[in-house]
Amino acid sequence: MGTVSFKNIHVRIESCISWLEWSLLALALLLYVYFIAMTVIQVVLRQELLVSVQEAETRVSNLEASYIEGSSVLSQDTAASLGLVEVPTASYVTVAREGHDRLTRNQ
Amino acid sequence: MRTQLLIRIRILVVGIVIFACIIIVRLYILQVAHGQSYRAEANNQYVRSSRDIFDRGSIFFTLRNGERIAAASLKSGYMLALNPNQIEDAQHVYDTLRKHMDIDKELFFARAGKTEDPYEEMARHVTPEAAELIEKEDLKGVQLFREQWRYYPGGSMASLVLGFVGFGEDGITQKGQYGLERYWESVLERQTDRLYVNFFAEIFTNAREAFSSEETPRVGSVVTSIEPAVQQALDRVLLKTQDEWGAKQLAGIIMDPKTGAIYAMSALPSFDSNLYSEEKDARVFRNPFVEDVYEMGSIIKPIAMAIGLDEGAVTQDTTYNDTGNITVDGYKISNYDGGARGVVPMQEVLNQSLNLGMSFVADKVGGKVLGERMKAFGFGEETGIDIPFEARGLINNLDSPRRVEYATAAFGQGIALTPIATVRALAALGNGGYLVTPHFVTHIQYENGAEASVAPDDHVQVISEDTSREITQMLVNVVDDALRGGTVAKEHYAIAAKTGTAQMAHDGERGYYDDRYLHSFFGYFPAYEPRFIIFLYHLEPQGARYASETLTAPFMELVDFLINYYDIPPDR
Repeated sequence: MGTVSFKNIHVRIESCISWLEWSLLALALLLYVYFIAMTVIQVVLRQELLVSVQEAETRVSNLEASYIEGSSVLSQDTAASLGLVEVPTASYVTVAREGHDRLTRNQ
Repeated sequence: MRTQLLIRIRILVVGIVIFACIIIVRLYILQVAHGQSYRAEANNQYVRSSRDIFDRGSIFFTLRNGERIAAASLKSGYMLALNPNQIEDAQHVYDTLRKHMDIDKELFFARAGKTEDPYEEMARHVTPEAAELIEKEDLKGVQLFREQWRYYPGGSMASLVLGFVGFGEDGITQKGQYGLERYWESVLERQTDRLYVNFFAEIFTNAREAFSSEETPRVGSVVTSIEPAVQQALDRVLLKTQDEWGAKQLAGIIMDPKTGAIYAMSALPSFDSNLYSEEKDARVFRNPFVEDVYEMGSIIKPIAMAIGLDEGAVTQDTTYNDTGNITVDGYKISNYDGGARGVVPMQEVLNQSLNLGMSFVADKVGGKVLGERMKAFGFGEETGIDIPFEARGLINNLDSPRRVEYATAAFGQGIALTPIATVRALAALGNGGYLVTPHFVTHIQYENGAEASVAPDDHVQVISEDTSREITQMLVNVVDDALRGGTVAKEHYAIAAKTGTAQMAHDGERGYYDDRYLHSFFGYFPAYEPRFIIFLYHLEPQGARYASETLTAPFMELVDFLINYYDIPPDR
């Protein structure tokens, strides 16, 4: 009786170990396929992202060129044509602060 | 039996795991450990020509509010190539392409006619919009490849400072050729081949870096102190001055005298960095501020005077008897007009720019001491500015045993300096007596997001702070009382300034031209706490003899601009 019992336990343990081994193998294979697939996807996504970055950089470059060109047109003549008048003399006020004065431009 | 089966299965599992480990280790060795050498061998199969792949760090201007705008960035588009042996009807292909882009007819047919050639580049920098339309036409024998190129949004703005990117000696790799592009090449360049590597190799490309103990190069973008509005103002003023006086060469710089940070630098003739390949004469790429040396003339007088004050050899009230000309070591030295002034104080020496007065100062200081002190001002050395090809001044005369060399050096003749070395020395007069390092780049933005300050922080004291204040006061008096009769002085702003009119030396011979001059003008303000130093010069201006006639108005125009733009409050 004891011998039979011991044999049954031994068989069950062996069976568990087998299932565990097969499960681990299956898991390893699945993980391997999954990570390879994810890596491939990441590489493709990264390349597409790089292309998007390049396109965004181009749009930004064009905007910066427009800004620089636009700012170069600003001049006193432009201001005069828009009806702006130069302040003949600027007013400055002295701000007294804790024992010393600070000269600042009138806003 | 069952046991045997289990044993076999286990052996099989262990075998598979060992096999998998072997494969992974082998992949690591192939892709990571030896990846570089195999990649080099496989280049022709896997990697597109690096000519088409371009990436680079940016260069930024800094606006007055601290924000940054790109001075040099990237643009992307397409390169159009032909496969002539696939083109059946060249005329049809040409007509179709013409609808969407400019294309040279002769060039197209010449390249399309090379039927044994599978690849002919036809056009570069094709816009994405045009590329999309061409792709829809589905033309056989026409290929489009993505490309990126260097782009300068400002065009010719600060082109002498920025330089440009061009093909190196191998004709394939692109590198910075002048200016900041060249000087900061190691920071700005990128390795971009991994973008187009076969994607199985790509899987392990990043892994290599994770396992590698090699230090990856620290690359990024550079941030400059150039302020675009100030740069544009300087460009405008120089163009106007060029139109008025027709000089052979004209240049200007606006710098912070306390830190050496440069807000603007420009010279004419200039070029557009986007169109550098269209320039016929490569001399236009040279930066005269750092590469050329000139005998600066009277603009050096304040430096010699400051040395005299600092040595205690003279004071503001020291007088001498000006007889109009003197003879030293057999050479005649005279004032600019040959006229005598009688007994004059040192202030008048600067007010009237008297050569004899400066020779008097040189004599009082002593030749050897004057020579050493002038060298201490950086004469004859590189300033360390962060653009390439900087020249050193020619100052052999400062080691001469002859008195006449020091007598003339005191008014800027007989020694030749680069304009940038001159500006650096002049800045020391107003900033408390310190030599600073002129520079453009203040920060580097690394690719990993970190930012480092790289602005030089060295200050070498060359005159005392008291002497700095004293010479500043004298130069303010020059503007208030002498420059154009005192008519350009500003009531509420103390401006220290001096002009210089130097005879130009004969090319390759001794002596000077009688009718060719170098006009220069420098000034800093607010004089006693200066925020800006401006230095302008031009070669051989036409129609005026003295710098005060040609450069006073441009200088004051820039002063007005800077006062308004930076809201500088009055200081008196």
